[in-house]
Amino acid sequence: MEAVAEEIGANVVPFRANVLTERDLSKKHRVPWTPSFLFLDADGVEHHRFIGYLPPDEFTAQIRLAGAKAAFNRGAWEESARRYAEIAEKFPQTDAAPESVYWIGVCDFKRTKNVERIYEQCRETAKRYPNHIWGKKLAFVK
Amino acid sequence: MPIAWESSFDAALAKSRETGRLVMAEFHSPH
Repeated sequence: MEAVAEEIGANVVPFRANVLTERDLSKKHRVPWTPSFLFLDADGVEHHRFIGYLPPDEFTAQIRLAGAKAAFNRGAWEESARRYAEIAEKFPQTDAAPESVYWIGVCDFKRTKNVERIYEQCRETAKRYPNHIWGKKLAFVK
Repeated sequence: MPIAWESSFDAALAKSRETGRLVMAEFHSPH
């Protein structure tokens, strides 16, 4: 878990909330089960969450995914595409990779208005990850 | 490397504003 600790130290601000003593905060953020990991910006707006502890690679990829989503949500298309591409390249076997491959295309479309970039990344996702839910959902694009 | 958990949610938000990083809030149960 050393790699995860380094990732946390370098890329996020970590905070732990005991749901039994932080009841209001847990209720406010609609946390139904533990452990839940929420990724929030400085205004408290949530950009990503997952439930349960994960192996190091998956955990790290989820942290990176949160950063890519937050960049997307603030319209930073180039930064978001770069972050998604990094996930796809460095963590290709993780659960975060298939959707990252897809969102690269969406970011490119947002930036260039070239809709073909979405279709290309849909095909790429379905080709690389045919058994993943993201590959299945994008398999209709020929 | 130990994880430097922030002492409160407000402190975490303040540090997020200062650094531009997202807060990773782990909601856990002691059981």
